[in-house]
Amino acid sequence: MPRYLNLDGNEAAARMAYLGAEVIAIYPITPSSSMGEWADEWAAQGKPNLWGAVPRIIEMQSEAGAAGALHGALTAGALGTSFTASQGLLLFIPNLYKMAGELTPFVLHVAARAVATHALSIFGDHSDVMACRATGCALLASNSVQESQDMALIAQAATLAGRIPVIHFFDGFRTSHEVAKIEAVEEGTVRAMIDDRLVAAHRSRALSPEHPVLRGTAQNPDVFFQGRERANPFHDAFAGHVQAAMDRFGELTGRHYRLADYVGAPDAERVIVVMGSAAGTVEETVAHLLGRGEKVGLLKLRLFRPWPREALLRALPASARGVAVLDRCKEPGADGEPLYKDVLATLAEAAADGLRPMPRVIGGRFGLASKEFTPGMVKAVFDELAAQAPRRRFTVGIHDDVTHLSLAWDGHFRTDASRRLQHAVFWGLGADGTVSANKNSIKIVGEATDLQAQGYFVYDSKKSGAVTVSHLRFGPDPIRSAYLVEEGMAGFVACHQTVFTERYDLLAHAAPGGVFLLNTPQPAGDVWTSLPAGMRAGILSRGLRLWVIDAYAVAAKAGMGRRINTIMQTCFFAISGILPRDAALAAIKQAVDKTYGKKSKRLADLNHKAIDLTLAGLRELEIPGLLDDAGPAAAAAVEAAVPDFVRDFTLPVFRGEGDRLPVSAMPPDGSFMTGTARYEKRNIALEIPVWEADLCTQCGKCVFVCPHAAIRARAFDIAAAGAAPPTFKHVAAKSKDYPDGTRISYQVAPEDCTGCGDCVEACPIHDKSNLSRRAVNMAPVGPLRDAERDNFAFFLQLPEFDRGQLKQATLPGAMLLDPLFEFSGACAGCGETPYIRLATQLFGDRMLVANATGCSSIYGANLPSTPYTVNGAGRGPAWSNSLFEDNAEFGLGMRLASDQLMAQACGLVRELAGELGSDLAQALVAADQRQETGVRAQRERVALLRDLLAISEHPRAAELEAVAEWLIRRSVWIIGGDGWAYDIGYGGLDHVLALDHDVNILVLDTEVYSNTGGQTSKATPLGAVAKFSAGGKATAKKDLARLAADYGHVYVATVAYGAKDVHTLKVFHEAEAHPGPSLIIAYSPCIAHGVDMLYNQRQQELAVKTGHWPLVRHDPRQAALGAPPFRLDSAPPSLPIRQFMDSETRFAMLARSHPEAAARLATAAQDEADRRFRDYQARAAAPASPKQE
Amino acid sequence: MIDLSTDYLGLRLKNPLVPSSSPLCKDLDTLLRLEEAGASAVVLHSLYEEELIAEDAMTERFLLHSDVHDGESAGFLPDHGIYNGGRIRSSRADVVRLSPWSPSLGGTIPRRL
Repeated sequence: MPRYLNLDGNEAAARMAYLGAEVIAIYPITPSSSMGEWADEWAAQGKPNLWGAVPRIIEMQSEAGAAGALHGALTAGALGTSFTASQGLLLFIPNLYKMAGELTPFVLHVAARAVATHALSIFGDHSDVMACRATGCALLASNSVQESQDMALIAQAATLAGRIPVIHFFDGFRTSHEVAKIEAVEEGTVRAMIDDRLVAAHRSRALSPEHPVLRGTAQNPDVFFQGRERANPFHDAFAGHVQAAMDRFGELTGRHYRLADYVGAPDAERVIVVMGSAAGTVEETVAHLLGRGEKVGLLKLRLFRPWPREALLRALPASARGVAVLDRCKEPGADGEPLYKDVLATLAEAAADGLRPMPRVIGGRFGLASKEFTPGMVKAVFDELAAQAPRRRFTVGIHDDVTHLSLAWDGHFRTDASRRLQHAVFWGLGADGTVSANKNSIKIVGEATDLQAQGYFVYDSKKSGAVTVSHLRFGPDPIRSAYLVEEGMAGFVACHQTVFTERYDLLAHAAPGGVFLLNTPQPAGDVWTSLPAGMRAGILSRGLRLWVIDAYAVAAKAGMGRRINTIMQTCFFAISGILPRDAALAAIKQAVDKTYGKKSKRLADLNHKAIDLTLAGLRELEIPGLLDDAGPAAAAAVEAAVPDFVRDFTLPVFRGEGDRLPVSAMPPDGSFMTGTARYEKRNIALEIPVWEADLCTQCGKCVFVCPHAAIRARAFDIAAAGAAPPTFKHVAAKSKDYPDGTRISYQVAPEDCTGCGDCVEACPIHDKSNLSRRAVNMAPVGPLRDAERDNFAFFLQLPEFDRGQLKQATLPGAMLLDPLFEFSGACAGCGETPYIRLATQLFGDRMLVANATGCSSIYGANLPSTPYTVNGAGRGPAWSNSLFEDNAEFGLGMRLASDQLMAQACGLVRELAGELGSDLAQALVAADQRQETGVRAQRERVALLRDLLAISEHPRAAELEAVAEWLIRRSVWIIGGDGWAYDIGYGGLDHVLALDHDVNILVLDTEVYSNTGGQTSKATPLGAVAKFSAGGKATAKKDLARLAADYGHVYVATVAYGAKDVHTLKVFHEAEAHPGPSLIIAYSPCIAHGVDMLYNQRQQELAVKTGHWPLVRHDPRQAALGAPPFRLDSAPPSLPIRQFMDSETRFAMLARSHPEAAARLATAAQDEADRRFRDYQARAAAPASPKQE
Repeated sequence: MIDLSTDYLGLRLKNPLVPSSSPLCKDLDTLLRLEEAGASAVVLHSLYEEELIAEDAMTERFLLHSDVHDGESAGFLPDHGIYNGGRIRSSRADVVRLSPWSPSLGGTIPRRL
């Protein structure tokens, strides 16, 4: 009797990989990261591999580093593996050529993902693995979670036997993140599959001084070619080794695989050839069509390299008259995609040889970046094959109204298999536990019944208030549906957050007569009328049963705070009937005990209580038979006066209608307008800040710390206040710097605020008669939203105060500058975004931004919107992301272009000086633009220049006109996280620092890889727990500031805005004004630290006061003045570092797992902090060096 | 052999050697070795209610972290399963089972909990 597991594709593959590995070198990248994390976790638990040893897990600085380390480990005789995807796999490529060329056996497990082109995408397709098809590695595809386990083992057995390295891949997200019930491969099977004689043979080939050989030679034209051909027999034989491993696996497990597996009619006339998860969907559709007498079939190709020519010809029925080959990738400019081309060549050769008649072969692209691929689309491909003149090249899954390649499909087509399944859809928040609860439900159903189970989880691109939609299926037969739950199919739809009723079409998935479960705070009698009219109509027209629960009230009553996952899970089992109710509830309680039992009996008891209270609070509502028109309408439409692009593109994507947009709606080169986050109005805050004008001293701190630019200050003339809405607050400006009659307002953007409360925490003013009242306080958004919406609209149309009159070096003055970075999707309380917002307030109208991939590129530019925006004159930051690893170089290129084109423009100005007038020409080329006033004056000169050029007849006037804008100095900003700056991009960063070009580098240092989920970086401090440092990081954080300062000519500063805000402001001014490279290392609290982000600023203050984050500045301009360039801007630590460490989970958790290590590392951290401070003190005390003078 | 037995807080001890609350009493293995070496009782570190509440709060924070999901990350710290209450907590539980030696419990409650 097989044992079943409920897990996702990554875990399934990692289980096998771990058992067969001795060295695992990794680097995190979505969607493969969790494979490495599983390996790290098992190693931390001391889990042995097949040979009784715990594999060594090493996190490297990049995939290129992981590839190098793996190559070395394999060369030196160990068995090794790694996990990667997309850009990471591309970085592996040079080593893949080497390892394959040296016949080095290993398996690289890949959660296949789109490669960044016109845009980055974290989602799945085969463009990464197809980029490796010339490396000499084998390419083996898994089509499902089950196969990702099975093929992982088969690949390991085959590579040992045949010495060809294998890239084992499965579809990113669709398979890597799908949770399914699979038959486990037990260790005994692994043992039986791995031949120790082959392991010994691998060891015998290891580099060893005991029997030395030379490998990695350089060869000349005389012999290189011959050497390249020498390995042919290994490649020729490898398909046989893979099939042999499959056969052996079949004997051991009963699951039989072929290199090319055919399913369908033996006399099929139309056949689809495909690799990856789509094979499941095609197989399901083929079964449906066979039941209706259609002669169709599917050829699942598993091995793509070495190309299994014979296996393909054997598997494909000779009756096939039409073959459609589907590629999940795109090769622009090619005469078809790779799989299509190879199938076509094989069939053409076979036909030419007279082995079989030549079928009509057509090739199509589908599913790029996880685009849905449904049975309706499969049917469309079969229909195309049946057409009189099928298109030779096509796409399916999109509407291509530009090149007209796409096939139309029936969106209502449903297979028999789909109709036999039970489908459920859950709408939740990324942080409300919905996904965890659903994974747990799958486990319960999978373990308690014979039912098959599948779960797939769709996330939006926000980090705060992210919506997750869980798609669950249950049924007696294997579930092959590699697509989302279809419209009208879900017998159970749950909405875990009331606010979604206003925003999304929650009922689209609901099946007629199904259940709609709503978590709502409304009393039962008011629920119906509280629903939007469209939803009420949908419930009636579908005949849905409406169940309600006030989950937050139940959670509060049970003492669970705001944790509702167990409550909503209980509702699902209580209503759905998937399991007998009592059995289901017992299983949930058992799961609770398993999760909490050892950790906290109190929490376990609270959960039990919540389960019981849920059953008491859950009720089905009686629905009126007829639709009335009481209650609110759907969410108010965004104002009609929006730019065309926003209307035609941005707003539909906000509404979740992006899949319906045609090709023509997309820009062809990936360039988008900025300033679109303002249209999103996500309304995710439960509370918003309220300004108490009477108490406020107008210090600007609340604006300064706001991560979302959702609280703002503006100064304006009293005359402008005349048309203010009645509740709009404004008071006389306290500063004497402004003219009489100047008013100031601090205004919240109620629909854009995330409710983090950081502004309140930052407010230094307390009401003396009521100390809990500050000059800004949080209040429930409900009663405030409408009025504040009007107030914010009024606030926005007030003219920006003359920037020249504002004291930008002071906090109150600088915070009156408009932010050109607003309403990002960053986490509530994000510690990074205030720095970016600040930069845009000061320099936004002249910023060019190069942004490394990571959190800042995701909240900065993940569609549908961008927080970067423009000022009243239409100017603002121009932003781009190249890669993760090359950001410093990318930004340097921007600087070089700016300088080059400015020089070119200056040359032309000189040449045309006679026409322009020598005063203007001289002023243009000699302009001092270090400060904003200089930039503004230059803008005026350039405007004048353009006027003159417009009437000039000089032959080079047009040329000058084309480059005139480059006469205005650009402020180049290179922005990224510590993963980029300390690790993967450090080589480039170091090089840019070593040069002497005017770039501003902003490192948002969260001390961990935040975007991919908390992996260790070289910025991770000593003693912190992070992924790949489960036992606490044993080495100190890299001192990037010191390394950069050692160059001498680099401006360097460490800042922490929550600790010393004016210092941060000063540093930004100084860095931008420094004419060479400037490096700002910005301490950025992050949810990965395990702190409540409400206390963001408190943590920064603690970090500085305990010496965890000393504030330093190195300003080369001081050296030129004969002063020491290095300054220590924070006082000697006044608190022990332990106090900081105890306040953050990332440190404190170590005391529970490794108490001795925690104590030792805390002491070491104190020593390190002391040592570093002494070092800084010594540097600050040192005189300026002669070299610098 | 000389009879070293004595009474202490209502407990009959085989000898008066009672290691005080110290680093020796932090770890279960060391406690067992103390017993083997002849200690008749040990004084354990005090358990404070607020400490237990703080541990629960920490557990909750672990769990909250494991509940935060987005497309690229499932949680931001290593799996809380590894941290499983920790050895400190576990050893306390075991020592509580050895409570007959605990003078603070006196002689009036059951000798094994």
